[in-house]
Amino acid sequence: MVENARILVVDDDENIRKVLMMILQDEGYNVDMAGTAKEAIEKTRKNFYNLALIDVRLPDMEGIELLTKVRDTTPRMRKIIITGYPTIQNAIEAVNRGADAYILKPFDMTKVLTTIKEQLRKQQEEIRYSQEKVAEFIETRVKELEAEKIPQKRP
Amino acid sequence: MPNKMKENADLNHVLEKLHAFFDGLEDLVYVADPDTYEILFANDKFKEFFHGKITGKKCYEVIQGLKHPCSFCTNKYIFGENIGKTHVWEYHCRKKGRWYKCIDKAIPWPGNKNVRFEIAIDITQHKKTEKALTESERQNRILVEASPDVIYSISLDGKLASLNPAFEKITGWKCEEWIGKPFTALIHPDDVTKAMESFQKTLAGEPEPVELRVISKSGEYLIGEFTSVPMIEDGKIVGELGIARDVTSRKMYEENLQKINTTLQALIQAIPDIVYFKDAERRNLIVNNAFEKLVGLKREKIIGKTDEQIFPPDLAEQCRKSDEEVLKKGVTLRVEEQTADKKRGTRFFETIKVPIRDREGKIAGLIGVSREITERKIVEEKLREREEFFRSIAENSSDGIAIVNENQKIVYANDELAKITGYSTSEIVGQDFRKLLTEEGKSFFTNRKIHTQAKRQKEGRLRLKYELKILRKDGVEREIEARVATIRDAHGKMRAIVQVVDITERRKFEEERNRLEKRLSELNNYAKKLNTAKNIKEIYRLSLDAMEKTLGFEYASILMAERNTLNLVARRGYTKVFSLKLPLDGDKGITLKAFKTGRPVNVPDVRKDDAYVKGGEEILSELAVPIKIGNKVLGVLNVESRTFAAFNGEDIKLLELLASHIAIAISNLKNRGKLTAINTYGQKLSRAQSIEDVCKLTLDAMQKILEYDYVDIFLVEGKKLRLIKTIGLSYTPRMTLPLDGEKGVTVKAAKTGKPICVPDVRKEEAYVKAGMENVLSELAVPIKIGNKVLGVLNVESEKLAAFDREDKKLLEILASHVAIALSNIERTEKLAALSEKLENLMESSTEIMKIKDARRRLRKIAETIRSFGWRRVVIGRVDENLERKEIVTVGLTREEIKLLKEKQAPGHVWKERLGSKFERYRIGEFFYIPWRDPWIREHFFHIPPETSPENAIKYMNAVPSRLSEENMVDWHPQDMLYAPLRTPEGRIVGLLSMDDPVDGRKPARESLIPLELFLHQAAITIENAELMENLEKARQELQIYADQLEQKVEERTRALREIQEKLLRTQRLAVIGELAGMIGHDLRNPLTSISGATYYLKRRLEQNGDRNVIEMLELIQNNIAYSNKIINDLLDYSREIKLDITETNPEKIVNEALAVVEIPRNIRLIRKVSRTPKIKADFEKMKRIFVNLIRNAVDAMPKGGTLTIKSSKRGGKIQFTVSDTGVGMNEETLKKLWTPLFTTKAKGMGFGLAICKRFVEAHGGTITVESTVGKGTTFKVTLPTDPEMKEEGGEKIWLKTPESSLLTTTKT
Repeated sequence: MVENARILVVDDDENIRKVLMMILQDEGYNVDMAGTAKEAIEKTRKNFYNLALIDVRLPDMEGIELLTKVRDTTPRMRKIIITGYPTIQNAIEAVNRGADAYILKPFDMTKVLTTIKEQLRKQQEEIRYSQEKVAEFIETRVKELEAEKIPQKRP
Repeated sequence: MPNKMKENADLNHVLEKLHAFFDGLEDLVYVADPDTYEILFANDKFKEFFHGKITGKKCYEVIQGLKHPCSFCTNKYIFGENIGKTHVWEYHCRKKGRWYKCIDKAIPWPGNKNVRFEIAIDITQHKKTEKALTESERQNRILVEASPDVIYSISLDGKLASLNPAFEKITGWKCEEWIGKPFTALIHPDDVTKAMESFQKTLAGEPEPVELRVISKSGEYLIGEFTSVPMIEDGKIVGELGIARDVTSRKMYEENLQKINTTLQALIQAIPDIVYFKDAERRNLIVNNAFEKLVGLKREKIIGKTDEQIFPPDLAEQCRKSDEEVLKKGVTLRVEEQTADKKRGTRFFETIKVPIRDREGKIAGLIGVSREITERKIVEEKLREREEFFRSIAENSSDGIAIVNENQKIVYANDELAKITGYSTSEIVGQDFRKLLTEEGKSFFTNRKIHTQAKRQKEGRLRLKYELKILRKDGVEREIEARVATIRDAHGKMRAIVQVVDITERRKFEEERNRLEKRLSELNNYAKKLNTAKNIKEIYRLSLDAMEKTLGFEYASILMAERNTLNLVARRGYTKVFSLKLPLDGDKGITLKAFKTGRPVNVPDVRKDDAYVKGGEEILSELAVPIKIGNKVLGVLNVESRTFAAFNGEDIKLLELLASHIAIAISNLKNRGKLTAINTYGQKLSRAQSIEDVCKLTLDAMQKILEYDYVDIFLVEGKKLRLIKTIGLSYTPRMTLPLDGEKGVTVKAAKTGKPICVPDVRKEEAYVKAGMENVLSELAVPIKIGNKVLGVLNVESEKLAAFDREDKKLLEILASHVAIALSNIERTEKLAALSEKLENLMESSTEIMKIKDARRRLRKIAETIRSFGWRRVVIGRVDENLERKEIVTVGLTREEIKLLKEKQAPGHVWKERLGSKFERYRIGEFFYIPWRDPWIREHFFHIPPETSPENAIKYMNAVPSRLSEENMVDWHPQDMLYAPLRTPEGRIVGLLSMDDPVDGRKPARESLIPLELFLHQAAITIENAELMENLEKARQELQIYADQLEQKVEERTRALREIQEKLLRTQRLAVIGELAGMIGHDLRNPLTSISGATYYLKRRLEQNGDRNVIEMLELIQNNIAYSNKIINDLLDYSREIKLDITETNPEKIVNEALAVVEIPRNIRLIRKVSRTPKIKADFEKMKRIFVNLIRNAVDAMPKGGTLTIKSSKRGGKIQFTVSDTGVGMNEETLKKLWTPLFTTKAKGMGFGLAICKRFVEAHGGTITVESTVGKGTTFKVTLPTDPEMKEEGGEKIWLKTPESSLLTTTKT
């Protein structure tokens, strides 16, 4: 599941997009790319991505703003912000808007990969947890319905 | 119908009867139906009492004002079983404030029924009396409860005090109309005399019934029968209490007498007193229960019988007498009856008997009311016994005693009174006491009676005392003292007891004493006048007045001694004018005898005395009394008479007294005269122009006024006393006495400053014989002003003790005049000298003003001062600390000037000399320093106190004087005088000192005043000189300043240029920084790509295992990291610094920093960082500072060494030091150390120290460095513990990285 995870790289720098794709594909991920925020939104609407790497500065939109937009389309997607201008305010805002991790440029690739893996694992856990929740819910409901039948014996 | 008619007829009959019977009665009577409560009958009194028509109304409405029957109305006691019985009770009418005795009885009524008959008797008076009776022990029951009619009381002044309602009923008057008015106005004019007599009798305790005509309101006269008793309260008669019965209506009683039926009987039975009716034959017709009880017989046995048949014979006899009188005369009688039986002893009754008349007015019988008065009788008996007792005392009294009755008659007199009056007791008794008195006494008692006395006595609770004169039987008047007390005798009558003492002798003695006292007091009045007499004539006149008027002598004269004769100077009473001069050495004249002996001489018969000098009158006796002061006789007072032995001891005493007053007056007058004369001389003296005049006038006064024969005047000259002038000798002897010597009484006076009186010069060691021989006594009085003695006045006499206190006093007064005159002359002379000096001063002043040079001017001032009589003058200029800067001297030798400069006192000493310590030596502006004063020697000249004055000069810290003591008067050669020179503002600019006065005298305030002018002048001179100097100095300074100015401008320009260059450099750096920031930012993206690519390649090629390729890739990676670092530093450096201030401490900062940096093992770390003080700082930035510094230090010690980190508190700051023992830095390196991008390391942090510096400065701190090549480097960071923050943080933004600009740049 993790190996086949789909990752969207959103960066206006083509070189970075290429390098990241190469490395991530090598690692066994399905990688898609977007150069603008607009493109990124469209892609997330059409496809499902497990994770997105979003540069904080995009030509048409601030990366942080994008976070909000993609949350509507793919709420479960893990979002990692990449920035070349690290400031505390920046970081806090990113997390508040729904970023799951924060990576500084120029990045140490090993560190980037570890972060991605960690995020995907968390996503898996979350999915499992929600599935368990649904199962639990159904089970409970069934039991309730069964229980309801008993008092319904009386006309 | 007939029944009804009969009933009506019966009713009318009954009503008629009731009316006839009860309408005249004073009591309230009514009949009420017990069932319907209707009032069937009411008598007039009742109707009147409750106003208006009452019959037919409900009893409870009328009487109580109730709506329902009350307990009285419903009470059926008298009906049924008890029918015929009476029910008696008392009722208190609160509305009227009266008490009633009510008697209820059922009576038959037409219509065959029984009705309630009630009679209410007003017993208020009775109640009151009852109360009064219980209060008094001594008094008998004097108020008789008589049959109620008009009951009245009259006060002592004859005014009606009370009246009962019967009065209103009978007379038609209202009580209020009469209460408080004289009762006589009610009486028929013809009866007034009788009425008054009766009133007096009652008051006298002898009341008698009387019939009087009383006017009614309608104008008719009613006949009233009055029975009265004296009204007594607290044992005093206060008026009359009486009962008046209207006998006009007695006929009705007579009529009714025939018709007495059961109804009336019931009434009579109810009355508590004994009541009986008798017919004309004195047979008892009706008796009541009380009567039955009295005689102890049933009614049946009494009715129809006479008293003789039922009473014991004695009582019967008493009754018969009064009965007969009543029946015969038709008068009302009040009688006292008495009876005795074994059981109850003697009993007394008081009975009132009233005749009853029939229709024709014929006496048909009588009615009697009796009351037992036994108790009262017993009390009266006791009183009588007391009277006896009193009488026995009176008989034996040593004072005269008389008892006077209310008619002013003497009823008793004892033997003593008989002796006093000269009458026998029998002659006195029965007389009006006033007959014994003189006319004066009689008139005194005309309007005063026993009553008044009694009243006064009651008010004052004092015995009355009179001083009266009586006329004895033999016609001699005697004075008596009479004490009066009043008592009441057995009959209750007032008696005055008069105690009489003969005081004639005592009176005479008192008068005698008063007369003497009067003479003495009059004499004293004259004495007072004598003291204020203005001349001798007045004294003579007053003395004669006193002798004539006060002492009462017919012939009086005054003789005064004059030289050798005794002269008659004043006389009075003599018809002939004569003069008399008796030679003092003669033997004629009684007066001369008195003069010589100094004692009074009384000659009872002049014919028998040889010394008597016959005058004009027929004189038989004479008295002469000397006028003397102490033992000195001035004259004689003389009185003569034409009777023998006219003068007694008292006269002598009084005359002596007068003589002493005269003596005092004369001597006072004399002294006053002398004083006036002295004062006249005093005025003359004050105008004297020279000492010679003064002496002449003084001696003149002494001789003429004070009458001394030998007089001298001495004056002080220097240290000597010199005799100036003498009177009494033909020449003036030369005489000079040293003042410090022991010789001369005058010297003694001058030394002590007090008068010296020598009564006997032979016994006086100091006495020195001047010119006069045979001197025995001497008096010397100093002439002085304040305490300063100017001279001595001296008198001498050939007699012993010739001078007394008076002389001394007068001479002292003269001396004081002389002193004033002398001092005036002295002052005038001084003034003359002074004005001369002042002239000199004026001249010098103008001269001084002309001199321009300060020094020369000061010298001129000093010289002028010298011309005022000071040999040596020094003026010194001083600075603000009073240190002498410059001196100008006059009169000093070279050596002295040299010495002066050597011994010059320092400023603080002068400060002390001008201060409060020396204040007492000040004379005006000057300080006078007396050498003789040991305190001065010690504190001014600083000579040890134990040094003797002679040796002291050797130790003296001043320039010694060249003068010797002998040339001086009161100045010591070492004395000195100094004064501060003050500017008008009070600043001391100089000191003036001077000494060696030419006249050898201590200076006086007046002589120094003109010099004070120089002080100011000198001060101003010095001040001006200073000002000039200062001005010159200022001018020079200005020149120097002007010279320097150009150079300064150049320096300033250069400095400005440098600043400008620096500014330009900084600006350039700012632009570069900004640019660098932007570049750094944009370098990050390519670096990211490179980094990623390298990573990819490395991963791929690792598997191939080509070591060289891997190494190269790693090299790329490392350089990417370094590039990134540079970018980060650049960005940090260029970023605006915002401080996030928190509270922290030095230890925390350093520890955190050390945690970041790895310290190699070869480096030793020394940490001396404390936890205090707390500091406010941006913790992260502080940490970075120390990380940087520690890293630098570690880098500087590649071969190891010691790293020392310390912190220390310095005021409000904290200093950190980070020292290493590394390679150190050369000067060139140090210069560039703080420049960004400068580094000595191959891979240094180009921005490290630059950032540190920025951070430190952002906190308001400083960072410095010290370094030695090869030895090491030390960084010092100093920070304020509580930095003042600017609004935007520590540092102004000087580099901005507009991130938006990067957006565009990256795009391209």
